[in-house]
Amino acid sequence: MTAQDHNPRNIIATAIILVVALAAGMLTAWLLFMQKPDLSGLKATVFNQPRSIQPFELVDHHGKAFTVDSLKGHWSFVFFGYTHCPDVCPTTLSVLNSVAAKLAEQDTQARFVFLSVDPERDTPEVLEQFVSYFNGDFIGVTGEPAAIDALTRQLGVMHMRVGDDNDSSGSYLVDHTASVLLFDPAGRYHGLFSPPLIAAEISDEFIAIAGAY
Amino acid sequence: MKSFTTALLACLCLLGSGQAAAEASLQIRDAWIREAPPAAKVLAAYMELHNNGTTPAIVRAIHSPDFGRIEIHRTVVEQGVARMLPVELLQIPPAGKVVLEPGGMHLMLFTPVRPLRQDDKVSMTIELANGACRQFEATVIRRTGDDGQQHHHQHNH
Repeated sequence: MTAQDHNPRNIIATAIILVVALAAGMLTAWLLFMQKPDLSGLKATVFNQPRSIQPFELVDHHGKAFTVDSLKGHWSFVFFGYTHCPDVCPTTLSVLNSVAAKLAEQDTQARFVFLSVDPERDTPEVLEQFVSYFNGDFIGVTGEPAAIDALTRQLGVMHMRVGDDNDSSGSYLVDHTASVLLFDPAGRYHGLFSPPLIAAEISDEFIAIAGAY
Repeated sequence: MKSFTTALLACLCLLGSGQAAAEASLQIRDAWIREAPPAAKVLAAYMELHNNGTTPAIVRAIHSPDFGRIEIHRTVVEQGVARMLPVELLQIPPAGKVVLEPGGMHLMLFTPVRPLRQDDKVSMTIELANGACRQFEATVIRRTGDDGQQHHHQHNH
């Protein structure tokens, strides 16, 4: 140590530099942590303004009421399909099952809902068998055709029965929206994932979306 | 009645096979049926159809004693809506292949006659337009994981 180090002026200058450096460091850290991630590069569609939805009354696969309140308090992935759908619906539910596993690994919570657009054939009992085959935590939802129509209309979800209605085997098909809709913990329609649906992409992007919420 | 139809079909196939043996050398690879929830009335099958012959192989029909009816469908997504369209003509070009895979072309299997579980084998017969028949076996596979990923990997091979 030299005599110069004990000069009070030098000590003050050093202290000031330290304080400024510390403040700059903290500011940088604050900016890094507090700044909301930029979601513009995502494949998912995220609405600038999440959309509130009108009340609806449907029923889950346990026969319990499923309403707009059922979407509150947690994030929900909602897919519209039907159990007689042999390709797209099982494929999508398999992807969502992988998303659920990836989110669980990251300690991230979300619910997964399969909402039938074929209530005539998809009773709560049929849905129970269908959704629990993929994942015991998935929720199957069905209801009165008019109630399903009212919900799908406000969400812009398309579904249309096609094929031979007089077919004795009852094997008509239903065209339906292929995207997975995302609802935020306020129960608002927050965005959507469109095909091709890839589990790793959906889980990563969901974590970014939830982080920016 | 069913066994009679099957027997008749086998005869038709035999009749056709002589003339067609040289041209249609259709090979079916990796045929699998997606295991479905217990009550499912419609299942899907996927496979690769390879034509090692010198003329196009045109599929006229596909039968299986385990299903009431089989149709060939293609899933298309147009403006965000998934539709299944019947494939009117499935033709495998000479020295070419056609792949049936999740989210694309698939066999739609109606009214299963027995419950099908993982590892079960299902016998199927493809009847070609030239009268030839090719019998093959599809394995039932339980797949509740990410199809997108597996699909992707298959393409990398």
